[in-house]
Amino acid sequence: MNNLLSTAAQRFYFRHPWQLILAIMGIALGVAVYVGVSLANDSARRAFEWSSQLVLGRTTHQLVNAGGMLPESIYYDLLTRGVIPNAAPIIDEELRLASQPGRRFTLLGVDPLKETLFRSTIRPIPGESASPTALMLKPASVIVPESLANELKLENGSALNVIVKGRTARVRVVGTLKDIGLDPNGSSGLILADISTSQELLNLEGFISRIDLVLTPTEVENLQLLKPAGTTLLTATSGNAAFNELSRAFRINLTALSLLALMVGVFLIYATMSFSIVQRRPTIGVLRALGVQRHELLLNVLREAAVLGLIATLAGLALGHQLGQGLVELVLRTLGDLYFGSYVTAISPAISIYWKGALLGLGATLLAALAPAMTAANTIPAVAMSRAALERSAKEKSFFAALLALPTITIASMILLLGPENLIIAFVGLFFVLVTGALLTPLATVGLMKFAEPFVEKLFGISGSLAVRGVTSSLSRTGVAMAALTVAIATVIGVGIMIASFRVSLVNWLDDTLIADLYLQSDVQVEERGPFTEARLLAIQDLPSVEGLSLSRLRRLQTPDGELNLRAISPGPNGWGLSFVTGNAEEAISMLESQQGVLVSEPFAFRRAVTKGDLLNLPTPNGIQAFSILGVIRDYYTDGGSVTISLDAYRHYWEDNGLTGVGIYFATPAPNRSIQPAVQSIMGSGTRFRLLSNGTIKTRSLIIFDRTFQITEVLRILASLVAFLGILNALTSLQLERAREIATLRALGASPRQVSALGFVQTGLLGLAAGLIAIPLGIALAALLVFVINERSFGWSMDFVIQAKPILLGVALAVTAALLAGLYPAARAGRLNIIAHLREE
Amino acid sequence: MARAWITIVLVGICACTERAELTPDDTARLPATRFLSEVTGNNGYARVLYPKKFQFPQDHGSHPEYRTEWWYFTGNLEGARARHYGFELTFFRYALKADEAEGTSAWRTNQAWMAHFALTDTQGNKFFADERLSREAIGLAGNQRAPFRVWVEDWSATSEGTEFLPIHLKAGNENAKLDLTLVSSKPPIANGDRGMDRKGPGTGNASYYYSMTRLQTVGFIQVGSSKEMVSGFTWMDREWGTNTLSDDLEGWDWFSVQLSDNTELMYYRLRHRDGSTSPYSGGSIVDATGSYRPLSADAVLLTALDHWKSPNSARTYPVAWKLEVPDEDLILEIEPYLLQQELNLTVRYWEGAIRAIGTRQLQPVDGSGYLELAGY
Repeated sequence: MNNLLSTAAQRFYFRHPWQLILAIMGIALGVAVYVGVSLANDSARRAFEWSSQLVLGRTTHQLVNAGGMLPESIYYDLLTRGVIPNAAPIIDEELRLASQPGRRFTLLGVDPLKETLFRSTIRPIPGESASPTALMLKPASVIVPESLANELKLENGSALNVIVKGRTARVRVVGTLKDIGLDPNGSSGLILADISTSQELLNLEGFISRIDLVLTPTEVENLQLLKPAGTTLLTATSGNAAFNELSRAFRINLTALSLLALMVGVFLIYATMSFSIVQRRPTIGVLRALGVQRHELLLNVLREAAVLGLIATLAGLALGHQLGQGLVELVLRTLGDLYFGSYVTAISPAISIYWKGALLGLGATLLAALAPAMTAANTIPAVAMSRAALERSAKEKSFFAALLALPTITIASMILLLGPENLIIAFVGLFFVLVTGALLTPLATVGLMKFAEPFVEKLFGISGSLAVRGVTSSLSRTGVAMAALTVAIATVIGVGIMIASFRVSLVNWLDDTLIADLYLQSDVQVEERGPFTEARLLAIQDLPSVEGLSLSRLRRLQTPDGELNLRAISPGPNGWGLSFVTGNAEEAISMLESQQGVLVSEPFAFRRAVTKGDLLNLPTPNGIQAFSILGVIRDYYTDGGSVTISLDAYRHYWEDNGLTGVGIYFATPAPNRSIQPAVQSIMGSGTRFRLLSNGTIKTRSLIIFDRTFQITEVLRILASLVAFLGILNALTSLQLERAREIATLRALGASPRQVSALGFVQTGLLGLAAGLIAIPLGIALAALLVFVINERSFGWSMDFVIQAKPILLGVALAVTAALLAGLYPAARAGRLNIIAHLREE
Repeated sequence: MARAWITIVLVGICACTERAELTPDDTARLPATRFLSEVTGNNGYARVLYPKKFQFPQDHGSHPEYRTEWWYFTGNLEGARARHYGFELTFFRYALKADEAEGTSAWRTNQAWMAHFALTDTQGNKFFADERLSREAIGLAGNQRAPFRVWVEDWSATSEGTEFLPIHLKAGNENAKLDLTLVSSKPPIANGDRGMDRKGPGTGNASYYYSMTRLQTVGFIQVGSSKEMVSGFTWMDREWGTNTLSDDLEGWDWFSVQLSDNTELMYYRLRHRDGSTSPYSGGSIVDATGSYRPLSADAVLLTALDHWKSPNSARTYPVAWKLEVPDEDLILEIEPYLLQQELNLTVRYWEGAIRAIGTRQLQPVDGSGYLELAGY
């Protein structure tokens, strides 16, 4: 009997090869998207870990000098007095290639003898003569990233011209470093040198940047007591806490998207399996009538699902692997853009992802097949052969599903309103909202069709009416596919609205804050005035049509709670250019001007859990100073958080006259072209600075923004693709199954064109219904993304802007997907052999 | 004795800068073959080719023209109520190249230093080990001739005056510390052939090697927060050379014993890869008056009596021995004060305090000493 059953299944698929292909493709794609995204995600995570491991290693603390460099005698004192046994001297400085000054590297000066204790992952690949011994012994010798060596065809002994501290120097490559992925300092990579080489290259004899430490709690206490005045002990991880938090938020976002794809994939598998069962109901009925046992049927369907699942899962794994290769580039580039401004390298992901993908594919297929298998096994032979019974139960089911939506939306609201402010919880809530949408889809479709029937009938006549009713009556087969399509389209709309909102907010913010016409930015970290000497500033000020200048000093500040960006501003004629979130702008600015406090950026306020009125402790060369927070401002640039202070106050407390940027304001809208060369010539050619117009900065910002969201776009497209396959699968099966119905229509006099049109209208309606239902769901999703997910991920608030474009795009996508999916079945319906199908009875 | 292998570690670190690479298997491979053989650029270094008459105090100081060099202190001490302690404090110098490094930075140097410290608290059943690694730059490590001083960061051996003795040893960490003064001694003995100790057949496969076999020691030991006054005897080994070892060696077992009849004995067995004893093994025996004579490889019979498998490294060490010197009619049974005296540092090896009980010409004799087991 088993033989007979499997023969029946084999024959079914043999006669319906499309069904087989679609089923396999559906499952495979679901698995592939999950595996692909997970691979990319995992790879990115490892790149992060690897790089922070590389830069920090086992370092627990760092001793720095608030004022700048540490005299090396401090290192000597602490070690020879036995205060801290596990210490390593570090010099880090920005390095650029003379040939490509746009690329930044970090020149990390280390003592190779100490590195064993700290950065064990720094692992030079020793060549014939390359070793850290050479690093220690040969002046100007460096170890470069492998990728750079390959790119520039560097070998051991090759010379490389670099720019450090604004000066050009020639270094010699003595080895390569296994590629390091990301460097949280924001460079394209680490170039390793001996501490002596660093001092010589940078003219820093006698000084180091910091001391890296591995400390026990007792040693921390000792060091706090014994550390020299002016030095600060930092927790090594705190500098990276914001960085870890951000990357985690980004990865959770990606995982959520991959799970969404999987959810759609499971829908698809379910749809596929239930179709093949629904379609064979008559056969099953016959088999049951012939005396086939229930459990035999059940087992047989499951076995079939297992075989299908296995083939499809294998295909999905292969596909996912390929997808992962492509996605990882995107993910890493996004991370690079977002957090590092650099290109990052992929790292091979964990094998376990493939296993998980396989398990999910097989498991989901079997689970998805279980319900249809039970239905098949439990049907009474006579009922199984009747169509009407089937559709009646489908309608009941759509009501039942809608009833189920009640508890799911309750759960979603409870989670989102009452749950803790946690990103993962927020995503769980979001998924429940989506599930609610999916559950409501069939009933909403029935409602929509009832509403649409008179209009469609007017438009298309009787075939229109037939099509509308066809949609409702075929819900048993299309319901799940519809739900899947709706969820996918809602995601497309929701993410689209979120990105559009973000973009609008960014543009507004750029308009609010970029108020100077030209910006001069220093290219190097400067301690003194750098390129912005008093004489030059006066000369620029005196240029015709220049109304005034704004001055700024941007610097990283090491605090016990981590690194922060301190931005000191002396405003120009158009004011401060700040966009307030909390606090009274006028009041706050007047306080700021009278040096009575600081402003903090939104992410900073979010991460440190501070707000207006709180006190903020900042280390100054004269000890810790408390500043009151006057307000919270919007800042999309420094996601790690920034603190804004007036330049006068900064100079007073930090005793630093350095400048890193100058804004130039035109009296009347003057042509940039005549002023730019004048400014260039005042600044001279020898100094390192960048001159950027307001417009250039805006354009660049938006380019980076768009690139950042490219990965999200790709995932949206993938989700749509899965949904498209689902609807294709559903419609093909539907049309194939309705062969007899169509044959009857044809026999009654309908032309092939009319029959095709009927199919088309029907699929179009299905798509439109999915698209329309997806609109409210999509908007809800967007609101969740904007107000909950993004705030909790990044601490950024943004304006919620519902634009027509993403909505129209989503609906169009749904209709197009449905129409495309209906193309083949409709064409087939037209070419149907009437007699053969009528004779079946 | 030939503890050259430890200095190999310095090269090892320089060659791979990764602790993980120095797994037990790798360290077994590190010695001899790659680093101390003739091939790997011993160019420019002085070599040990002839016997030498040691000049003191000059020869207590460093000999940077040779590649490797060490000051090796081991001792057995007693606190109140005969509480036993063992200690090891060693300073290794390793030249990264023969000529001096050039540059304007004070960190430029061609010399790297490593120090190991171990303390055995027999009654407390505790063993502490730690290390220091630094370059000879900005005063972090080095050697000074007068007054004599050798140091790596906060660990040091410092003479009180212009004479070598008395000398202060200071080392330790949060958990264990020592602060000892070595007061007086029998005169130094020149090991091997008048101070030149051959360790292999190749040119220069030798070291200059002298020992101070019985240094009267007093001072303090601190374990945790409890500090105790101690006294006992220290053994000092001084050795330097360039390509000391031949490349077919797997490791060695080194014994030093200070006996109750005021005699001392040192013997090292160099092991070939096939397990056989190298004919270049050897040692010295010192009588109560301080006169001494060398022991050839076959003058001493060694039988392992017991093994201990380290739970940390899963290596098995022969920690108990029968040592016989037929010419002297001396038979000693040697066992460790503690089994766990494995140093889990950049390199793992077993080196620990031992007690010896036996007979000399049928008269009972006993004593303490140190045993080093390398290359297991």
